[in-house]
This record gives sequence, C-alpha cells and structure tokens, in this order.
Amino acid sequence: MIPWRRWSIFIVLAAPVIALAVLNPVFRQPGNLFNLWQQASIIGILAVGQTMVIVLGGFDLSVGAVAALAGVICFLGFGVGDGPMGVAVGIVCALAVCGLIGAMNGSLVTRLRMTPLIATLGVLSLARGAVLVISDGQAIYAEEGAGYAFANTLQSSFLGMPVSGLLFLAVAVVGLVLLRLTIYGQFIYAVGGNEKAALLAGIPVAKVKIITYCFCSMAAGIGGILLASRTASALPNAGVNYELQAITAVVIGGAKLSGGKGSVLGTVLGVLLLTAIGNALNLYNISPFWQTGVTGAILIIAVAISLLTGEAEKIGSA
Amino acid sequence: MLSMKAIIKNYGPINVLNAVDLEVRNGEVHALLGSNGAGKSTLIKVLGGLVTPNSGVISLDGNSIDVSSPKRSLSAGVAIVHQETDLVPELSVAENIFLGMESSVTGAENGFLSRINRTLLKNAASELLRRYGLDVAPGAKVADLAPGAQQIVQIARVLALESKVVIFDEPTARLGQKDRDVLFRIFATLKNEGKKLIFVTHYLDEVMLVADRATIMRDGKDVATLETAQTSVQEISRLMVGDDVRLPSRKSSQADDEIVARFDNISDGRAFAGVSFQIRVGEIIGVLGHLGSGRHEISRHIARSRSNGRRSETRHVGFVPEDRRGEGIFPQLAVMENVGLGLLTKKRMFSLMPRAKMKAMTDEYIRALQIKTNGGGQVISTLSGGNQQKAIFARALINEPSLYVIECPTVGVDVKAGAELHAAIFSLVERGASVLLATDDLDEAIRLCDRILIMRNGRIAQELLPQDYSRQALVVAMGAG
Repeated sequence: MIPWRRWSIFIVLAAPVIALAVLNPVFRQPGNLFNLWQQASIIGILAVGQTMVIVLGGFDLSVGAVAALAGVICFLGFGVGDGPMGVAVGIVCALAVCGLIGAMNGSLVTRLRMTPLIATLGVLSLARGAVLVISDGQAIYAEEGAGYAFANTLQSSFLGMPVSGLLFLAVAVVGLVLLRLTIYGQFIYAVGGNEKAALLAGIPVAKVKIITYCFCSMAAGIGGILLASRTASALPNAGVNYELQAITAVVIGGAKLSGGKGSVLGTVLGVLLLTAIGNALNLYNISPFWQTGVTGAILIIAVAISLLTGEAEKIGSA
Repeated sequence: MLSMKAIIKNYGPINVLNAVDLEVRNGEVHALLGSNGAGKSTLIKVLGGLVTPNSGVISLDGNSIDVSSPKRSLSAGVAIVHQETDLVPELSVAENIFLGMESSVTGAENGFLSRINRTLLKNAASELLRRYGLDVAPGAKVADLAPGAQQIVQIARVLALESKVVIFDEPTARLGQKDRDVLFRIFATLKNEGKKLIFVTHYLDEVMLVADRATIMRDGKDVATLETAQTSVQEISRLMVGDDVRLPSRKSSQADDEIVARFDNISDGRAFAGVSFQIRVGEIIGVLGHLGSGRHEISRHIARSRSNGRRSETRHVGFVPEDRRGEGIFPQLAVMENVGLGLLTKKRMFSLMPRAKMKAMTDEYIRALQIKTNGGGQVISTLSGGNQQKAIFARALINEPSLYVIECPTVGVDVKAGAELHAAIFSLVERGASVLLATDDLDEAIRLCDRILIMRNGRIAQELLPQDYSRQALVVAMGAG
C-alpha cells in the first residue's frame, strides 16, 4: 500500500505520457525517443547532483551558472593545446574549477553557517559574472580540430544510443551508488534527516556537506560541457534557469526540500517526465513558450499530490 | 463537570479508543495515565478537536458540546497546553500571550488593521501573570528568555483563554525542578477558580503530589479511575502495564578501582569551569543539576571528547542524548539505519555500507533490548517513544565502548520500557563498562548511581554517596528553595 503512495506522483503524471505513447505513433518512434533521451541528459546530469544536495537538506542555485562557466573554460582549453591535449586541458580545468566552486558553496554553508539560498545565490552571480568577463560577453567557438571533434562526439550516437544520454546514465549510476550503497550516502540521508543528531552521532557533518556541494558543482560542470558541445560553442547566457528546472525535477522525483528524502531514480523519472511533456508539446505544434508554464503546473501538481497523500498517511497512523 | 461517555475511535480495523469514559470534576486536577500507545493522546486529541471520534458524547456542565474542530473545541471552553512551544520569538511576552486575541483586550473593533495598544496589552498580561504568580516580565522579548520561562509563557497563553477545561499534555517533561513548582502553583490557582484540569504525564510521583484523581488507560480502554489519596505508585504502575512492573536492581556495585576516564580541571569557558572527577570501571556516576547549572553542558563536553583529540583518555564514548526527537533519531530512516549508524562513523566514508552486518547487529539488539518493531526495516518515527529510545541505546551499544554518557534515558518513556532501559544500563556495567548518567529524575539517580555529582553554577557543588541518598538531600544539594 505504501509503495503505491510513493509512486502515486508518477502514476498521475505518467498517465498522459503513456496515453501519448499509445495514441501518437510519432512519439514512440525510436528517433523521437532517441531525441528525448538526448534532450533530457543535460538537466538530468545537473539534477542528479542537485538530488544529493537536496537530500542533504540544502540546495544549489548556482548550477546553471557553473555549467556555463565550465563550458567557457573547457572551450578556452581547446585553444591552449593542439589536438587531444587541448581537450584534456579543457575538461580537467573546467571540472577542477567546478570542484573549487562547490567547495566554496560548501564552506559558506558550513563554516560561515550561511543559508544555502544566500550562499549559492551569491555564487551564482559570481560564476555568471566570471563567464561574462572571461568571454567578454561573446560566444566562444570550438575551432576545427580536436575540440570540435570532441564536441561532435558528445552529440553523436554509440550503438544506436546518444552519447550524451549514456553520459547521463553514467552520472546517474554514480549518484545512485554513492547515495544508496556507500557510507557517505547514508551520512547524506542522516544529515538531511536530523543534522543535530548526525553531529552528536559523530558524523563529520561539515565534511559531508562540502564534498556533496563539490559533487553537485562537478555534475553541473559535466552538464555544462555537454551543453556547449550541443551548439559547438560556449555561450555566455548558457544554462540560465537550469537550476530551477533541475530542482523541479528533483522535487517531482519525490525529494523533500527540507532534506532526508529523495532518490536518484525518482529524479531520473522526474527529468524524463518533464522532457517527455516538452517533447509532446512540440509534436502537437504547441508554442514552446507554453513549456515554462506547463513545467510550473507539473511541479505544483506533483507537490500537491505528495502533500495530500502524505497527509492521508499521517492520519492513518495516528 | 466535564464528561466524556463511550468515546470510540477506530482507524480502519484498529480500535484506538474502545468506549472510553472520563469525568473531570470542577476544581479537580485529573491525571490521565497510560503507557505509550494506550490511547491517552488520542483521547486528548478528541477533546481538542484534532480527532473526530466514531461515536461518543462529550458534555460540559451538563450541556453537550461540539468539539469537531480545534476552533469549536476552543470556543466550547477546552484549551490544551501542548508539549512543544510555538511562540513568536521576536515578539514580547505580552504580545505572545495575547497573540490572535488582541481585540479581546484592547477592545479594537476595526479588525487587524487597527493600531495595537501595547500599553493595554502589557497591563493585561501583567495582571494575568500576577494572578498566577508567574515571575516573567511582560515586556521582555521571548527570544531572550530561558527555555523554562518560555514554557511558562506558553502556558500563560493558554491561561489567557480563560477556558473551563485546561489540558496539560506532559508539561513537565522539559521543565527543571523550579519551573515544575511554578507549574504546580498554576494548578493550584486554576483549582481554586473551579477549573477542570487534565494532567497527562509519565511521572507518577507528580501524580501523587498534585492530582486529585487519576484515570489509567490501557489498550484503548479506561481501566480504572482512582483517588490518588487512596492509591500508590505501585498500584498505578501495575494498572498501566497490566501486571507488576518488576523494577530491575543489581546486587552490588560493580565499581572497580581501575579508572576509565579522568577529567582534570576541565571547563568549556561558559557553562562550567574547574570540574575534576574520575570515572571507575563498572561505575554508574550520576550528574544532577538544574537548568543552567552546567549539567547539560558537561555531559555534552564529555560525549564530544571523542572527537577532541582526547582519544588517549577515552577511546570511544557511547552517547544517548536527552532530546530524543530533536537530537537522537533520524526520523525518515529505518530502525536498522538508525542503529547501524553507530558502526559507520568509524569506517572510511567512501566505502560500501556493511548492510549485512548492520542488519545482523540490529536484529541482535532488537532481541536483546526487546524493541517492538516489524523488523529492522521499519521507519523509526513510527515506533513508540520507548522503542525509539531503545534503538538509540542500541546505536550507542553497537561499538561496545568502555564509557557511556546517557542523558535522561526515561523521559517520555512508559514505565515498562523505562524499567527495561534501566536493566540495560545495569547489564552494561556488569560487563565492565562505565556510565555517566545525567538526569533530572531523582528516583532514577538514587536507584542507579554509585555516586552522584551535584552541579551548581557551573561547578561540582557536592558529591553524594549512597548512604547520603534521599530525594530531600538531592533537592537541597541542587539548591532548590
């Protein structure tokens, strides 16, 4: 009975998607499903990192800006060395900078006890500011060569599956293993569930938080490199509002913003659901301008369902 | 008179209240007793309009009353002092007391946009506080008050409602001795005014002290209503549990001469200073003291000493915190995860969770401590208070440390579970561990401890040995009165 409740959000929200798959032959074409997976992958990767931070009891508003910064740094790196060397420099530098930003988020939240809202909002502006200064507000293109080839590869397919989608899968698996199978993951649930108790039980709370913010930023970095590869250029306004989409997906996936609850699997389903609905709007030639509003409606419906069913649960066990 | 007749409440097939009767006379303090899960909080929720019964009649002074919602219950004359405080910390005492009912004091007729007359509020508050003999400044900001004083403000807020029936739901669980006396003075005033008081508590000695009659509930039924003057703690606890609670005892002190931990002149720079004592192998040492005496801080200090580089002195300290819900349990996690967490903090963070070992050890402790669960996978917040407490015990036990810091182990725990927890503490010292027991429960300290340290003003004011033990001696030593 309780598992049913846990998945009730998906049952309600997946119903239109399933109806779509049955009614619309274009939707279920392999080509469209390939696109759907590819479209979901960037927000998906950001959302996996976000899941960990939200389960921890925080959230990270900086991921969209951090993704843009990662794209800019990575594409600058392509120009440094020739061939694969440049690609390696670009990726390593981008992810290293993201790791540092994550450490900064984590330190502000733990050492200075800032609320995640303020800390990551500030870092959002810092990262976006850095993007604008470094790029001088201009798009940075991957020139012909290894960088360009790399960007192309990320957008190609492997064994009939999108490379970006496989990357999303890989990040999700890493997130799943960390959260579900390691001691570190258990500590994340514990800190999110009751931080005071976690501290008294001897969990290194600050360390867990800083590491988790690092992971989240690095996931954002991977997403940002993928995003830049899509347009073969790092755009200064890339990833605007991605943090909100990622948080929306996590919440639809059953996580609580107060922490202690959430799962990578739920998040992945949430991302796929959001993308599928966007995809459907396209298929029926509905203006993409509708999509933001629809996303908002889904978020509110999802949370309403979880609150209503949660309430029923509470009364039943009183 | 308040009368509840044949109250029935079912949740599906589960019978929570099974034709319960309760009568509270005018000017009476009526204790409502029972183990966790006996149905007393559901009965209170029925009165408060939070739970709608399937059937039953409730009447007040001869007229049947409508308690179908909290608002209706309140206007029918039933008010509840809840366990948790829900004050607005940035507002003054007076503003908190009359929060939401300002117009009843100031007589403003223009709704919530009219100006608040703070002077009138303050005067009304100080009159109310004086009437009940409460020593709180009506102009003080609630955030600046000590927790005990905040609790008193919370109670004053309910008193301001001038209800005919006042229900106190475990009001003393978080009060120091001094604030308890204040509370019992409030009881006396309310009695004189002919109010009907319902007092829900786990402390049977308080029942004998202040209640006129007591109704004992067990398994959703009122099993007896007794005059406290004609009963005893033993009879009440027997009725609560159903059979005699055998209080555990140990034959003799297990204390050895070997010293497990030595604290020389320790201080935390704020709450206590210059504290020195030693804990011997197999010893239970009690630490008592009022709020602000440093008792709480010193037990925290020692519990934390494991992470302070004091490893040479105490290898590992098993810790059972006092505030179970706030500092003990991880509410969303399973019992197994709550217990097994004790194993994890010693391992490398990026290694796999030893699930099999956690499960096996949790099952072992579920058996040993008689934790009532559907298995280790059950979410801990769905257990009763006593069983949650046992799970937190198990977490501390799982590393088999040589020293335990245990704070108020039986607060909010029913008599039977409390006895089992005491037995668990005895078996710890029998196996050679040592226990520092920080508690507010004098009987608990007297029964369990080999030595009692009394804290006052951040120092050890006195050390008592068993031959000096008595409730009175402890109260005097702690500086009450």
